[in-house]
Amino acid sequence: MKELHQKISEGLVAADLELVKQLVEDALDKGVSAIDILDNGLLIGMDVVGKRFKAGDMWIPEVIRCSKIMHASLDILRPHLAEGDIKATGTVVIGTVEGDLHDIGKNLVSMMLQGAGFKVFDLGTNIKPQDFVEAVKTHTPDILGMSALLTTTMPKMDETIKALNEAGIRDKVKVMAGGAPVTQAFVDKIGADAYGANAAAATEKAKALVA
Amino acid sequence: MRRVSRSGIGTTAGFGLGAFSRDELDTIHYATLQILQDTGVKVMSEKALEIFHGGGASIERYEGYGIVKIPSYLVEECTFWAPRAIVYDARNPNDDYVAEPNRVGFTTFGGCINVIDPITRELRQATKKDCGDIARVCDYLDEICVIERSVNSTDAPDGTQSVHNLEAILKNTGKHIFIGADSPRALNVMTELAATCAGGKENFKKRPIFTVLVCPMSPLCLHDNTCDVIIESAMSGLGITVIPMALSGGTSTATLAGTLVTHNAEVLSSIVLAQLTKKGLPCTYGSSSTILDLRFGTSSIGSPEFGMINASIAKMAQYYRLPCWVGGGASDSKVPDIQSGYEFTLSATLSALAGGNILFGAGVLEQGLTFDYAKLVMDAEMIRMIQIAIKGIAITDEMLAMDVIHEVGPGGAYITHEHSLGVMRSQSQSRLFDRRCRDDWLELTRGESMRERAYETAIDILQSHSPIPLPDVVSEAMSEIVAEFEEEVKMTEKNTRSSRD
Ligand code: B12
Repeated sequence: MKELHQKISEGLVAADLELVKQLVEDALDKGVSAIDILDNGLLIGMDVVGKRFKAGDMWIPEVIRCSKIMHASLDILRPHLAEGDIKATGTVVIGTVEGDLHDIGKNLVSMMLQGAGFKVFDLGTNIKPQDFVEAVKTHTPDILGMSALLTTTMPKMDETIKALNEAGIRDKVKVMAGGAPVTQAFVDKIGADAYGANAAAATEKAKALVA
Repeated sequence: MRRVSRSGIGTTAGFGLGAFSRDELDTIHYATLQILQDTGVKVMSEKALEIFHGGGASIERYEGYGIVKIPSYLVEECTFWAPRAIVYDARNPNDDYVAEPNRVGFTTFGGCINVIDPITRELRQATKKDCGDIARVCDYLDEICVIERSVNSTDAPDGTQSVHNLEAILKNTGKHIFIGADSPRALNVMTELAATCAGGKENFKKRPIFTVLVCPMSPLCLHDNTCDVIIESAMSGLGITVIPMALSGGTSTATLAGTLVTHNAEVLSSIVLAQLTKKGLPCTYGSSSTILDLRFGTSSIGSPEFGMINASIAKMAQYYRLPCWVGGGASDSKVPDIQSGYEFTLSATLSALAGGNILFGAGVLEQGLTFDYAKLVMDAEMIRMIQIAIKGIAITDEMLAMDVIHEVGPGGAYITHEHSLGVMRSQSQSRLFDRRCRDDWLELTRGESMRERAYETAIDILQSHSPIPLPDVVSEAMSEIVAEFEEEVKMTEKNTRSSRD
């Protein structure tokens, strides 16, 4: 059995869609539980992917492909999973702040988070503080992620946190911020909970926030 | 001995880079026309949609935007309406810059948000003072032909930065300025500022001393602000430079050829919009495109691809016979070190050999985020070297100097010959780079690294150089315009906020 788990995680790291799908089906046929396949096969593989990406051994398109395979496998597993079995690692609402249209970095972060098992609601770009607040109310995420690439739009992060306070829901959600001009010092100043310098760091921080 | 004239021999002036055959350029052009006609461009400004429509483009409307499909005749015609050769007028007429084909000049990278402080050497946010100071150093450096707003006044309030940037730059240089505008309204105020400097509106119209940088959003989008600034520039008769920042592998194909096509489509559609708004508006074919490093997720500007893409784009601009503004000389290094020197030289040389008219990249580090004074001064030294190199070796009777060779004969010395005396100053000259013998080097520099000497040079320039002055009344009038605008922005902020509540 162990061997099958290992094959699944290795197949995932090797980004072999057909192989992983086949192995997942085989495992189900052999009576391995869906949650076991997920926890001890797929997620182990995604963990390796995350580490190798951080080390510069894996390229972003490879990581994206791995995460697609992860999701395709989940689709196979889903009918076999009990309600509440897939506890998403956590839920994240993410968006680029008002006045800012840069989204390449935010999209990467959002894809990596999904790869790590987070459920992500991506609001897009040019998101007003009030709209972030509404989205937090609607989706009740564990984490709110904000991206800003312009020094002129960074203050919107501060405003959003204030708006969360005013709405009385600041303590209901962890706030993560990033984007090229954003620094740890800025994040501390505006009272956000975490800063991520890149997609790999963002994923690590997010995991730590929900742990 | 008699050497009479030669008849019609083939000559090449200067070293250059072929890059593409005519057929290959045609292929890129036709591919672009196809994209513009069949795939279309997403346009998010109502005004711009109307202008495109009026010009003969077809519009498919969706919620909040339209897909504009531009027939090839319109593209061909509009690129032809843009003036062929441009002189970029300067407040100091001695600095008017002539962008005829293959004239290669240099300027800095633009829009950085951090600087390495030349005194404390600490990384900090760039301020309005840096924006002015860097312009002053660039005003002094002969190697810099026009001024780009190198850093943003990050200490100025939201929505007013571009106005503050321009004020700081105008007060510190007499050269032509390339600068972006936060909004059409900010552009109005910037025009007013520059007109005040240039001796009034009429004079400014005749000699606009700045050009507006506009930035389409790859892939194939023209955002409302981009469109509205293009339209406003055109109505005010201000030339534009279109600089898409396609990131190959992120916002354009991971293959560079495909990147050239969508990049081209983004520039040409912007030019169509500008020309339909005002026929004959000066348009500079620009680029800030590079690759998205697919290992680290960074927009790498120190990569060879940055040079390859920008050199290719210089060739595209020449194909359309438009002046061009392309990258060359940028770096991803975090400090002004050996990496930054190597990276500067590769892309700057490629773009220079390709004949780009204005190459931006000097002074920049860290994917375009950080500006460094020492790097600017060191880059200027290398720019001089590149400008010598691209001149090439002229094969003429005069340069062959056959008489001198005969005269000196086998085993003779040229250093004592009058001919050398006459020609010597055409040699390249190092100032910061060191070519002396070790002992002299040690005595003169105390073994100090070039980087240290470069910081010192920058500080010296800042202390001693005074750009062509502005009359006190003009300076005051400018400060007033800026203060009024700040007030105006504050009020509109307040109003929108209270109307929201
Ligand atoms: C590509 C780009 C563009 C593209 C954006 C395309 C798109 N779809 O996003 C276009 C051409 C449209 C563009 C437009 C503009 N840009 Co721009 N752009 C860039 C550029 C070159 C790269 C950004 C990028 O995508 N990097 C790659 C991604 C993967 O990295 P990233 O965004 O930093 O994201 C990583 C981390 O920051 C982090 N992260 C990001 N978000 C989040 C969120 C969370 C929660 C966490 C934890 C982490 C995190 O993880 C990401 C992945 O590793 C930067 C320069 C730079 N080096 O950053 C300038 C830059 C940001 N732009 C700049 C400017 C000035 C502009 C314009 C104003 C230009 C103009 N005059 O029109 C406009 C503004 C438009 C607007 N209103 O937003 C300046 C900003 C200066 C300033 N004052 O702040 C920069 C620094 C370039 C420069 N030197 O001029 N730009």
